[in-house]
Amino acid sequence: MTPDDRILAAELVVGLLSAEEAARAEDWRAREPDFAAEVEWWEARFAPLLAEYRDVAPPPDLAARIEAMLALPTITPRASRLHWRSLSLGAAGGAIAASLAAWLLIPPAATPPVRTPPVARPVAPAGLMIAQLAWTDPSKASPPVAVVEPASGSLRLSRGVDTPAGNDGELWRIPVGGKPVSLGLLPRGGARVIRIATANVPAAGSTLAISIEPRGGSPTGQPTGPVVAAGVVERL
Amino acid sequence: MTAIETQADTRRAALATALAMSATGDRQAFRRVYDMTAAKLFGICLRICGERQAAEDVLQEVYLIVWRRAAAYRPERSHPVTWLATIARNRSLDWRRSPRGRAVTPIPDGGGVEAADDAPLADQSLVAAEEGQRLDDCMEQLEDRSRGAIRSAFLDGLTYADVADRTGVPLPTMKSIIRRALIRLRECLHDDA
Repeated sequence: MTPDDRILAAELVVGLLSAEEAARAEDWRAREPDFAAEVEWWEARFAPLLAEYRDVAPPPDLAARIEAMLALPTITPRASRLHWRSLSLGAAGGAIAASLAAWLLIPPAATPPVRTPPVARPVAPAGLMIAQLAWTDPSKASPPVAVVEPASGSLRLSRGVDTPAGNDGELWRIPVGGKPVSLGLLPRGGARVIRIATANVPAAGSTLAISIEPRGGSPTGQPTGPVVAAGVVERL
Repeated sequence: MTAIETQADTRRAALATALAMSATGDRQAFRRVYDMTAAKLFGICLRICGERQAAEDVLQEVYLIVWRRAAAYRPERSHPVTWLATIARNRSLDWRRSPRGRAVTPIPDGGGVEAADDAPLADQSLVAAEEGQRLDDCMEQLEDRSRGAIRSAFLDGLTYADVADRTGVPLPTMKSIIRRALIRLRECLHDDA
């Protein structure tokens, strides 16, 4: 890491960067553990300044508005990217995985329900499967979660996977004791939904993996590039 | 240990517990997190967004993020209020940098909140006192102009361009003044003395 990078980390934490510069730095933070550590160091050093913000009582009805949204979380289009960026499941238990899965299944354009009876936890549709992926680089944070919905033949990732320019990310299912079978390329750009054929729906206990391949996908039908993330598929 | 410190420790433990319980889907615990921290976080959103409606929207988003992310909080790594305040500040900064946020002229005194340049409130001991003392000491060694710029950038959510505008200093000059100050600050904060 260069001295300039260290200053960039400080500039990000202090909030000096423009939207574009901050987005680039955040992106770098997600990929570069050294830079992420430097950002965290600055955050901890500046934390005492947070004490200078004065308390201001929010409107009394805000708590109820927030609670109503917990019943059926939706993604506001304006904030969707930021939500994902902020999401980290770490050692999440099944309850969190289940509510996340339900959240993933709600299309971003869905309008929030006017009135939702309070439920303890969203109910997962039958047959839903989930894989908490782990980065193969252990120093990377916030690995993606994959949710497979066999009924609609879709697989959603909770966050995008960075691929170097000129490459594509390719998704694989690896049956227990079997060879990897390609599920297709990760969409370029913002989309994180992949259509999969019924025959290609991974079974519980099999492994999902993402590898970095040349543009257009593996030329051999088997992963040729580094596997960046993998995890076991579980039934919800 | 003083009574205020004990009280702060108790509050910290209660908040960390409520966060951990929220992570299991416990809504009552989540409501306790809200009740204990909403005024603090709203103060942050309001000062940075500079507009009440936006601050309310951002605060709402912040708590939805907290609800979903509660499991990621690590009590051994940071104070729960610091963790929550950082989320609130980052979301507010994101809003401030959005096209809508850029169109808003921040209320000079931070949305009706006094500019808090005086001593922090006693019940807001977010971090060990020595951490705060270290930052104060190192900031004190900077020139007035760069110290003021860094403080208001952090607290009010100002970019390089905003700081340059406010002070009438050309942007490249302002950038190099602040960068030099950040380099000095880093050296000072790294010093063990």
